[in-house]
Amino acid sequence: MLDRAAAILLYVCLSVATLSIGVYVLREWFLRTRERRLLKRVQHLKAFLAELDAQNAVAFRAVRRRFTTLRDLEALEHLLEERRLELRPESSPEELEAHFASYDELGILDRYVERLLHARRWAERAFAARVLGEIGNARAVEPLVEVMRNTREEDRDVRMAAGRALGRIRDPRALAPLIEALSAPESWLPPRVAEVILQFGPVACDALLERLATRGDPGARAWAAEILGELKTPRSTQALLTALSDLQDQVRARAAGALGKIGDRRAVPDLIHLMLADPVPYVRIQSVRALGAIGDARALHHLIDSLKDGEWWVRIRVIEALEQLGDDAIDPLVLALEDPDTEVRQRAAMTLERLGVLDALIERVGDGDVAAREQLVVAGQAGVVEVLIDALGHANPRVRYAVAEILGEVRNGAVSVALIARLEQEDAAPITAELLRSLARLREAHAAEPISRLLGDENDSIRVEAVRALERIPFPNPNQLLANAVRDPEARVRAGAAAVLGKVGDPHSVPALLDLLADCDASVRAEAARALGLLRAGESMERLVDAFHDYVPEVQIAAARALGQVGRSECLETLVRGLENASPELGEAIAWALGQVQWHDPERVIDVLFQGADRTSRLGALDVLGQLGHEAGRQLVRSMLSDEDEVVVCKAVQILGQLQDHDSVAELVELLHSPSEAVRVEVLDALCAMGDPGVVPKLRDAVFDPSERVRARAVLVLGGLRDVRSGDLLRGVLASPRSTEEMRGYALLSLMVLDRDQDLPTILETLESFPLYDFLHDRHRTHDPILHASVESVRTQRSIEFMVASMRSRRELEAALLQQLEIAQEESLRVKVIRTLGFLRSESAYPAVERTFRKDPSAEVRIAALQFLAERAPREEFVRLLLDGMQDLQTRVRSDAMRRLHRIDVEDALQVVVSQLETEDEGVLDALVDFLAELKPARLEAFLDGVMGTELSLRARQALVRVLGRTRVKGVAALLEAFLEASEPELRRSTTRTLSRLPARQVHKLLAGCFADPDLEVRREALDAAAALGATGAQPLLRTALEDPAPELRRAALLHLARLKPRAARDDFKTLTRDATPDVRAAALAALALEGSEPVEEWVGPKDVPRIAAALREIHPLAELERRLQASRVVGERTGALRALFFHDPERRARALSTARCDPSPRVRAVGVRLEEVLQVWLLDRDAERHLGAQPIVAATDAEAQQPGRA
Amino acid sequence: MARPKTILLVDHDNAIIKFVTLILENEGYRVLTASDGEDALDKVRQARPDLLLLEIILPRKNGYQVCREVKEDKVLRTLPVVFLSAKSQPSDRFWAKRVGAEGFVAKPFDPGGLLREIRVLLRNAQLVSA
Repeated sequence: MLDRAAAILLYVCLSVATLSIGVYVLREWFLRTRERRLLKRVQHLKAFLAELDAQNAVAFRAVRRRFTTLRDLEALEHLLEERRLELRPESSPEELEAHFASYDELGILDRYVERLLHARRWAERAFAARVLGEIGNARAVEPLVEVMRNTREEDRDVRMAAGRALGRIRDPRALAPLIEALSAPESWLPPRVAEVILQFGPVACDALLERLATRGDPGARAWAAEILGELKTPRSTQALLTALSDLQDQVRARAAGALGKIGDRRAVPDLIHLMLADPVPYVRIQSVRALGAIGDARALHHLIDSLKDGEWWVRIRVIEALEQLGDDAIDPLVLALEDPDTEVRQRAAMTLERLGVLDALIERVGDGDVAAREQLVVAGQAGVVEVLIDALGHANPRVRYAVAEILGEVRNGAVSVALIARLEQEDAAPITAELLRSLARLREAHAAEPISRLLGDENDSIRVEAVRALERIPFPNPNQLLANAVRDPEARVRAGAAAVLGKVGDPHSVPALLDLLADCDASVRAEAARALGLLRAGESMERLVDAFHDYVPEVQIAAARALGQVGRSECLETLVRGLENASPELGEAIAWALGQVQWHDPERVIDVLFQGADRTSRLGALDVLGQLGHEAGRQLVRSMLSDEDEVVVCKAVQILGQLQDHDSVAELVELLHSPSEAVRVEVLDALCAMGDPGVVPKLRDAVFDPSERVRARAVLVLGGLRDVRSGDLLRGVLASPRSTEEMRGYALLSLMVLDRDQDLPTILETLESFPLYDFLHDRHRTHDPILHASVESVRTQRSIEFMVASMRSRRELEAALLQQLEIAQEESLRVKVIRTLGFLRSESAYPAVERTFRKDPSAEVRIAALQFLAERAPREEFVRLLLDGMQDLQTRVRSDAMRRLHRIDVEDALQVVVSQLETEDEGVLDALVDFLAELKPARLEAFLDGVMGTELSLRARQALVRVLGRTRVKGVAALLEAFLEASEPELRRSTTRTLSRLPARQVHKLLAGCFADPDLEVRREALDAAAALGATGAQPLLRTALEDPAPELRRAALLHLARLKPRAARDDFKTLTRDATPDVRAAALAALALEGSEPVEEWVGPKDVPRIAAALREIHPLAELERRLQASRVVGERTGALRALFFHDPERRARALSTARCDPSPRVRAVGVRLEEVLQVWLLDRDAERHLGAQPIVAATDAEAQQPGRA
Repeated sequence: MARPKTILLVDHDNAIIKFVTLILENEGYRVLTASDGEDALDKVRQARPDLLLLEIILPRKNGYQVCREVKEDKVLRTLPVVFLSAKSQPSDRFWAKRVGAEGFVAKPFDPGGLLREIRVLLRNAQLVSA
C-alpha cells in the first residue's frame, strides 16, 4: 500500500515537473519567435524608411497600406521620433519640414486624424490630438477645429488637447474657432483657450480686434480685450479705447486693463473718465491700475479725486497707483492716512514707508515738527510700526524721545515689546522717562516687572515716572514691588506708591498706607488718604477722621472723600460739622462724601444737613441733596428756590437743572422774572440742561431781558438747545444795533450750531467784521459747559463758518476751503464750501470749482458750482458751461442750467434748447417755460425764428407746443392754430390739449375747429378742453359735439352739458334720447332726469336703470345729489335730484322717496308719489332684482300661492 | 431791352440749386445762388436781386432768420421773398408769413406753379416800386 502511494506521488511529481518544463520551453520558444518576428518587423520598417529616404515613392505607396495596426504606427512613429531627435540640433528648416511631411506621406497623420474623430475612448482621442499637435501639420487643423467646435464633446481634455495642438500648429485658420471658443459656457475653457491664442502672437491681432468690435457675447469680447493687452500691440489701442464705452462692464474692465498693459498714453484721458465716472467699482479699479501702469502725470490729480471713491477697495488700488507716480503722490497719500477705512489707512502708511517718506518724517520729528509727529502717529496707528521701532535706536536723542512719545499712542503688541526692550538699553534719563510714560499710556501689563526694577534707579525723576507708570498698569502683588518705594526718600515716589497701592486694591496694603498717612509730606498723606478711600478700608476710618482735621486743605479734602468712600455712618457728624465755613472745594468734597455714606433714613439726613444756618452749610446740603436725588430732597431743593440768599437760590436752580427735575420747570420759568440777574442766568442754564422744548418761547422772551448778561445768555442757550425756529431771532440779534458784542458773538455761534443753509450769507457777512475766533478764545478758558458744548458741536460738524472764523489770513482760508472741497465726503459740506468761496469772491478758486462742476458725483454740488461759475465766467466760457450743464445726467442740473439761458444770446441758447426739446424732461421743460416767459417780445420772435427754422422731430414739436401753451406769450394762439393743421394727429392732439391752458377767448374759435378734426382723440381732447371753459363758454362747443359721429364723444358731451348747463340743453337731450347707441340714449335720459322737468321714469323700464345710473354717477357724485335734494332752494334742482337718486341703488332710492314725501314743494311731493307708483309697476318685473337691486313683488306673490290651503 | 430779373436762390442742396436754376434760366431769369443764410444776406446786400427764393433749413442762419432780417432792413424790405421748402406744415407756413414772406411753395413742387408765383410777385413788386 505504501509503495503504491509513493509511486503515485512520484508519478505525479514527475508529471508536474515535466509539464512545467514543457510550459517553460514552449513559452521561451514563443517569446523568442515573437521577438524575432518583431525584430524582423523593425528591420522591415527601417528598410521602409530607408526607401522613403531614397524617395522611392512607388514602393512607399504600395507598402503604406501594410501598416494597419496601431502598434505598427506606434513603432513607426517611434522610429520617426528617434530620427527627429537626431535631426534637431543642426537641422535646417527644410529638413525638419521634410521629416514632418513624412508623417503625412506615411499615412500616420490620417490614422491619427481618424483616431481623433472616431476613437471610442477619450484618452485615445486626446492622445491623437496631442500627437497631431506635435506633428504640426496644417492638414490636421480642420479636424482639430471640428473637435474644438463640437459642443457635444464632453471631454474637456480632448477639447483642450485639440486647442493646444492648434496652438502648436499655429495655422491662422485655427484662430477663428479658437476665438469662438472664448464664448464657451464652461468657465474653465476660455482662460485656457486664451493661453493658446497667445501663442499665435501678433498674428492673432486682427481676429481679436474683429471679435472685440463685434456685438454679441460679452465674455468673448472681454477675453479678446485681455489677450490684446497681453500681446501689447499698439495698434489695438483705438479698438480698446472704443471698448471703454461698452455697455458690458466686464468688457470695459478688461479693455482698461489691456490699455494699461500696452501703456499707450493716448488712453489716459479716457481711462481717467472711466475711473471717475463708471458706476461699477471693478471697472474703476481696472482703470486705476491701468493709469498706475502707464504712469502719466496727467492722471495724478484725478487719482487724488478718486481717493474719495465710495468703495474702499477702489481707494486701495488708487493708493497703489499713486505709489507708482512717485514723489508727487506723497501729499495725497498722507491725506489717505485719515481715510475712514482701516485697510486703506494701512495701505497708505505702508506705501509711504516704501517711498521712504516715513524715514524723512522721523528726521523731522526730531526737530519738533508737529505735523510730522501727527502723521507718524497716524501711520503707526495704521499698522506701520517697524520703522518707528527701529527709530528707538536712532543716534539723535531728540528723535528717540519723539518716537518714544509717538509710540505711546500706537496700540500694537510689537510696540510694547520694543518699548520694554528699549527701557533696558536707554541711557538718557528724559528718554527713559518718556518710555515709561508711553508704557503707562499703553497700559501694558508685561511692563510692570521691568518698570518696577526702575524703582531702584538712582535718578529721582525715573523713579517718579516708574511709580506713575505703575499707577496705570495693572499688576498683582503690589506690596512686593512697592515695598521699597513706600520708603523712598523722594516724596513724589512715596506718593506715587500710595496711589498705586490704592489703584491695585490689595487690602494687605492698608498697613503701609496707614503709615503713609502719617508721612511728613502733605502730598503723600493726601495720596495715602485717597488710596485708603479706594480700598474702602473700614479699619482706617479713625485715622481718616484725624486726617480730615489735617491743617493742609489737600489732605482734608482727600480724607473727606475717603470717608465718603468708606461710607460708614459714624463719620456723618464729623462731615456735617466740617461743612461749617468750609472752603468751596472742601464743601464740595464733604457734600460728595455725605452723598456716599449709607443713609438708613434719608429724612434724618435732611435733619442733620440743615442744622447749619450758614450759607456754606446750606450750599453743601444742596450738593448732597442733588446727589441723593431723593424725592423729599428734591422738594426741599425746590423750596429753596425762594431762599433769601441769592447764592443759595442759584445753587438750588443749578441742582434742579442737574437733576433734570421737570416738575420744577414752572417755578424756574417764574424765576426768569427774578430781580436777581444771577438767578435769571442760572435759570436759563438750568432750563437748557433740561432741554424741555416747551420753555423755548420763554427763553426767546429772555432775549429781550433788561440785563445784557441775561440777554447774551439767552442767545447762547437757544443755540445750545438747537432750536431751529429761533434762527430768525438770532439773525435779528446779529442785525440789531442794540445787541452787545457778547450777544452778537453768541448769536453767531448759535447760528453755526443750527447749521441752516439760509444763514450762511449772514454768518459770513458778520464774520467779515466780527472776530469770532478771538471772542471764543477769550471765553474758552471759563468753565462754561454750554459754551463748550456749542463750540465742540461746530468743531465736530466741521463747520465751514467756524473755519472761516478761525483762519487768520484770506489765503490760508481759501487754501483750507479748497482742500475741504477736495476731500470732504459729505455733499452738503462741499456745497457750503462753494457757497462760501462765492461769498468770499474768491477768483483763485475758479479752476477748482470748475473741476468740481465737471467731476463731482453730487448733483447739488454741481449746481452750486455752476452758480459760482456763472457769476464769474466770461461770456464764451459761460456758454460752454451752460451747454455742458445741459448735457448733465441729472435733471436738476439741466434745469438749473436752463434757467440761466436768459444770460446768453439767443443764437447760443438756440442749439441748447432745440437739443433739450427731444428729452421730454419735465424739469427741463419747466425751466424752458420760465426762460421763454422772461424773453422780451423781439427776442422771443428771434428765438422762435431759430426754433421753427430747424428740422424738429415730432416729439420735439410736441414738446415745443406744450411749452408755448404754458408760456402764454402774446401771439402764441396764432402759432398754435397753425399747429392744429399739422398732418400728424399726434401733434394735433398735443396742441389741442395745450389749448386748455390759454385764455378762453383765444381758444373758442380754435376748439370749434378741432371738433371737425378727423382724428377721434383730437376731438376728445377738444371736448375736455371745452368742458374746462366753464358753463357759458363751453355750451356752444359741447352742443357741436353732440353731433359728433363717435357715440362716445356724443355721450361725453351730453354728460358735460348735464353738469354745466342742463336746462339750456334740454331739447338736445330729448333729441338724443332717440340716438342709435344705447349708451348715448341712457346718457340723454340721465341728463333729462337730472334736469328735472321731464318724466323720464315714464319712458323707461327697469332694464334701462343700470345704464342711466352709471351715466348719472359720471355727472355728479351721489353726495351732491343728496345735498341738492335736501338743501337746494330751487324746486327744479330738487326734482332733478329726486329723479336722479331714483335711478340709483334701493337704499338711496328709498331715502330719496322718503325725503320727497316731506318736501315743502307740492311739485316735488307729486313727483315722489309718481315715482313710487312707477316703482311698484317695475317691481312686478321678474328681473326687477337684477336691474333695480330690489325684490320683485311677483316672486313673493308666487310663493304665497304655492303654500297649501291658500287660495 | 428790359434788364432780366435777378433771382437769388438759397438752398444747401446742390441738386435743388441746379434744378431750379435751370427752370429759372429757361424762363429768362438771371440766377444767383447761395448755400447758407449768412452768404444769402451778403449777396442780397451786394447784388440787390429782384426776388429771394429761400429754403427754410439752412446752415449759419435759417431761412426765417434771413427773411426777417431782410424785412427789417429799411432798404431791403420791399424785396419779395418766397420760401421753397420741404418743411411745409401749416405751422411752417404760418411762421413764414409771420416773418414777412410773400409766398410759400412746398417741395416737391410743380415748376409751373413756382414760375407763376414768381411772376405774380415780381409784377406786384414792379407796381409798388412804380
